[in-house]
Amino acid sequence: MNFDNYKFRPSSVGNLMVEPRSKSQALSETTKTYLQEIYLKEKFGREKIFGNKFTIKGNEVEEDSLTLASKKMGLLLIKNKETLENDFVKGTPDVVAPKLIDIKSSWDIFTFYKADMNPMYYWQLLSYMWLTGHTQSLLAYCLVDSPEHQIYQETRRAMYSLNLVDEEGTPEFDAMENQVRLNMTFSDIPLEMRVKTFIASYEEDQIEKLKQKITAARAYLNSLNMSGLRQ
Amino acid sequence: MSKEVAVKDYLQSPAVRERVSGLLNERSGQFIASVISTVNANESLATCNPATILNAAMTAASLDLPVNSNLGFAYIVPYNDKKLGKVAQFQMGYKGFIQLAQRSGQYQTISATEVYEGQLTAQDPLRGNTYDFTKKDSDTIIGYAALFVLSNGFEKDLYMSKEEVQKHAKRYSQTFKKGFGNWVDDFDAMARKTVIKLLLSRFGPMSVQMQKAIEADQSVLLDGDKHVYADNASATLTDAEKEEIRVREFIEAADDAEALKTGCATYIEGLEKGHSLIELYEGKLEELS
Repeated sequence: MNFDNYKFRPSSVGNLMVEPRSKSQALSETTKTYLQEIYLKEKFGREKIFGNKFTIKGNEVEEDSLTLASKKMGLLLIKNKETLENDFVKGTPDVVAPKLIDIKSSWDIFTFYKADMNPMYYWQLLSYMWLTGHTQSLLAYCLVDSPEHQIYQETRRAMYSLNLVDEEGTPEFDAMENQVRLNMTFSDIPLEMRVKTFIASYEEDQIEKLKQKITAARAYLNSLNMSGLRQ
Repeated sequence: MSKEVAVKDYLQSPAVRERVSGLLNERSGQFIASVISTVNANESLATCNPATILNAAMTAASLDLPVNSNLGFAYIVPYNDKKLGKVAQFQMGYKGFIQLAQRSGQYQTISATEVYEGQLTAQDPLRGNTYDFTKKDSDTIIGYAALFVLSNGFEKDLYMSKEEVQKHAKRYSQTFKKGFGNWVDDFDAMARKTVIKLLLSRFGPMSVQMQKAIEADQSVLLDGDKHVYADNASATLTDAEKEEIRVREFIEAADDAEALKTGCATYIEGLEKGHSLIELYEGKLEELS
């Protein structure tokens, strides 16, 4: 198996940029673990299943978040469906026109409040700018209602954790149910407060660093075998 | 032409007269006059899709229920749906359900009422709740109850607390969540209807008319027999529908032709010929130019 032309996904390319503890090492342990998982997926088709309630919400409410961001920005935002690639990365940015935007749908007001630019998202946006030619991009966190089935599941979870099984109809159960729904729906909060944006700018020297890491990563992938030792 | 005249012309058109006559025979003239009267009494109805007004009225006529809102049997309610536009929705009143149940001949008695503090004396989900309507601890309504007794003696009641009814309204009515509509105008009547409808649909023998009424309640009848529950908050839109609504709202809100073109010309160009958004976009551009 040859990884000379393997293209990395912008959403996880940040894993390559974690600096190793020792300067004598080209790749960090975090990066190596990430690459080992790529190797096993490409070689044997096995991959860890990462779906969780946060990603489920993100997938299901993406259009709602686009609508919210559209209204806040005064722009018409349409979900991009085209996969873009160059010799190093391959991915599908959320919105490419009129601006390059990546949408993140926060789980609740607590995660939304703390939401910020982080290295993974930075490298993701940089990769998208590299793919599209945009010199600036936006990371947009949106706070939109959770799907009904998730509200139901969280209510059930709270019912067990608060020992309210078989207490349906009691004031305590109703209070819990109301609080869960309140925690997961946000139409009472003004629209302008429910979108947070962060700007990332294209930097050529950062792209060069990314290219070097991708080259090193490909070499590492080519060295892997089933014994876990480098050839 | 004003929208009121447009609705009136539609209702009096030969095609509509023929369709109504097919159902109501000699009563068709009176029926059309009553629908026009209903539209005249409600400004918002005059701007609704005339076909949905007629379909709602025909549903009421097929159930032999008057749509005079003062009587409380059935209503034609204007509704602004993001996808369908302004449409008329058929709504059953609680008196309408009682009327249909009585007509079936299977019910000895059927009724619904508010329950005040002190009147609900015992709750038993298996054997039925007990009430004492001779006393009232205060004027505070704590819930709503419906009861039927069948001709064979079988009896069943349903009680919902006020909070349960509010939760039901919030879940199934977007207009309630937004603060307008029948739920806001007459909460008690809608609550009585809710308990009766749930009681009948869960436990009561249903005549064909009653089944039709439940299916048609709070629906918009488009072409054919397709009921669309536009007000239902739990009805979910597909991603494609949400995108279309977003584009529609962007076009409708545009106040500058250049910004409109910049914003969505490319999207519009990618649509299939005849798509409704193309007409909306071109109309708006013309308006702004």
